[in-house]
Amino acid sequence: MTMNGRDLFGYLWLVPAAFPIFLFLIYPIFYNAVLAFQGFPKNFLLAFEDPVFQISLRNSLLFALTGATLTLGLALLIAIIVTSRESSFGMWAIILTLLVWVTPEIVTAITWSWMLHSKFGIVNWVLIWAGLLERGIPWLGHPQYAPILIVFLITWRLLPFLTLLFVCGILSIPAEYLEAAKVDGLKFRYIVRYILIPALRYPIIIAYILVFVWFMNDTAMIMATTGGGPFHLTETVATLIYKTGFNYFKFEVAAAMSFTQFLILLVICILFLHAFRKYWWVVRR
Amino acid sequence: MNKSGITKLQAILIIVVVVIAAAGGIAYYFLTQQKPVEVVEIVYWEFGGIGSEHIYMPWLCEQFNKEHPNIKVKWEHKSWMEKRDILISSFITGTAPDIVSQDTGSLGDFVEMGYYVPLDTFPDWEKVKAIFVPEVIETVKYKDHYWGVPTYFDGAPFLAINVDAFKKAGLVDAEGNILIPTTWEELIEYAKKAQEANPGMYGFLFPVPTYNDMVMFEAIVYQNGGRWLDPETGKPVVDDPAWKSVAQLYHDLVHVYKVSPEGVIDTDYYKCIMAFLQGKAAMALGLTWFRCIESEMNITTPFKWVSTLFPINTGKTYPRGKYPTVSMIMDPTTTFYIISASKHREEAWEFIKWIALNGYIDRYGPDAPTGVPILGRAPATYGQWKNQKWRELEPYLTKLYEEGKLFQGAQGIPTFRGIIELLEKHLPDAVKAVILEYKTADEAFRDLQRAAEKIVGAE
Repeated sequence: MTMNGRDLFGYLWLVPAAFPIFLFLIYPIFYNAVLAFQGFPKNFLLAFEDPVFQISLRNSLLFALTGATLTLGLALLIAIIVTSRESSFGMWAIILTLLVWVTPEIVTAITWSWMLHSKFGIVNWVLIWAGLLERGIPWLGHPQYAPILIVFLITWRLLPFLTLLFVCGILSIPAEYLEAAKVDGLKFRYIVRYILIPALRYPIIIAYILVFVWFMNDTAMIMATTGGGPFHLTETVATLIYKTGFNYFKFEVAAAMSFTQFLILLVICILFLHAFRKYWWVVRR
Repeated sequence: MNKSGITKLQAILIIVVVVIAAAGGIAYYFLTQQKPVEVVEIVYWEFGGIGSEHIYMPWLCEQFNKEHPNIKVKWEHKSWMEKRDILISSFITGTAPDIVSQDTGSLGDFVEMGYYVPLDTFPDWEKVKAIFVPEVIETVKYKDHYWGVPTYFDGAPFLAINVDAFKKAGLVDAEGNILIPTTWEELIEYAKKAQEANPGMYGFLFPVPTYNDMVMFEAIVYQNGGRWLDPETGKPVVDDPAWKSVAQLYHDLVHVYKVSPEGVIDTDYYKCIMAFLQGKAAMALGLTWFRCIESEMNITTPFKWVSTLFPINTGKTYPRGKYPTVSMIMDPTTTFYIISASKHREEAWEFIKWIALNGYIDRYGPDAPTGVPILGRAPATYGQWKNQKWRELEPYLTKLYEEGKLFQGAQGIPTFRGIIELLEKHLPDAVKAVILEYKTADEAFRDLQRAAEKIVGAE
């Protein structure tokens, strides 16, 4: 296929959009790779020999896997419940919960750190008042609770956005399908299984990848609540990259960590899309 | 005059007017084409700071600019939390300012990376140096050069005491003044008594989880005769008894004496101070800037409180370290540095020198000329120590200063390549492991020693 002048002119219109993408996405990735591969494989060895990096890699994958699954499941459940009622209450509830999404993450993180504090926190106060605890628990400083709470907090933050996404997906299903199912006397669980889920499969795949990546890359919530502690049990690769680069001044090692995370995410995304390729064919048809 | 004469006169007048106008025009052209006074713009980034300082610093720039028509200093405020990120990024991208003010904790790192200019190479450095208390100006010394000009210092470890709670517990002398704990044994005893006499109040509160909290821990260790690195060999010595004793004290305060809650592991310095100012603890560990938080948060504390140096370890109950004791470690967190990328180093120095030699650092405090007092900043210059308002606010610190005890062996905050990583990544693990009884102090600090050897050895 040859390109004529008209085609070239058309591609020229892409330049204003392509330029910032190149500048802020392609170039940093390239530069990061240059930094990471300086004196190869020294930086990668230093990264992988660091026990904290190993812990953070495990945490990142664990948080992303459990968190993304949990967020997706809950969002889908809430979206189905909300749209199955005739009342507009559910929609208003969704809009209100979007406040969580629009509030800056750092603000919500700091608020949670106060709410969960052992001495000042309202959570402990309520639990003590209800007779469930004798004294406050340092939730975010405790090795048992801190990792669970981190997954909970990020899930809590992402949930409204994802729920809204699924609500929109459900509302876009032609009403005739649902009416026909009702006329045929199909039970609700079959409506969900045979109509809603198949109709939402494309948004579900995209949402899962998005949430997975969000969990892997989240830094603000962790830094402002646990700081990666206690004992690095809430440390993720993303927080460690930040600290290694800007706090410990080891830019090349941070770049190697960053490149590793980039590769992991790339492979996971490709595998995921490959596993669900039949749905893509449906979309393309 | 006939008609032709008038015509000639008119012609002459016109020619004269044209010539004058042309001459005027040419003169005007050349006059206006003369080079105007060249104004050099100096960009100054202030990292962090409190509200009153954000009034004082631009005011200083304004005063300087008025007196120096050929230099214009432009003040910009930058986030404290992102100070390293911003500075490094700006340096790499060629957008660094001429002057920054920030702490001395990462002085070693920035000097090694070639970001700062040594200030002792500029004229009048000795005059500037002479206004400072020697121990304070030594905090900006690294590898035989002085790199900054401080405005005050934050010192650690300090103890805040709730005077009302102490009085209620009967912790007063014959004259009715509260008893100040000077040893660890007294700290424990007074904390117990204060806790008993004041229901709902902890005897002593200390912070643990963050970098700043570990600086306080490190300060107690230094006070207790410990060091990160052996001064002779430069090798890490964090398995020294000084380190283990402080961790053991933290543990015992929670589990043995029960004057501190287990919740210290999620209580950072800010929450610790807030708890103290809300009357939830009779004593609290902190830095010199308790009053910064109080003034910044506009808190009217409903009780009287004072601050003093943290008590020392006598060695009777807990072993001490082998190195000389220090009264405190200091970090002047608003220290002026000139950035090596600056094209106007001389002018930048002119600004810093002007501030120092015109009494503007001496007036950096409760009596700031803007009328907005700067509170909670410990004096760095002799002039600041003479300030009456400061002396009234901090009688115990003033007394210690006059007795020569405040700066006895005082040092700058330890700075070497890798210290931030140790303070942020490894020390909290060791301390928390001891407090939560996951490890003994011996085990925790043996692990820390291994980590320190690896990090310092790699640098």
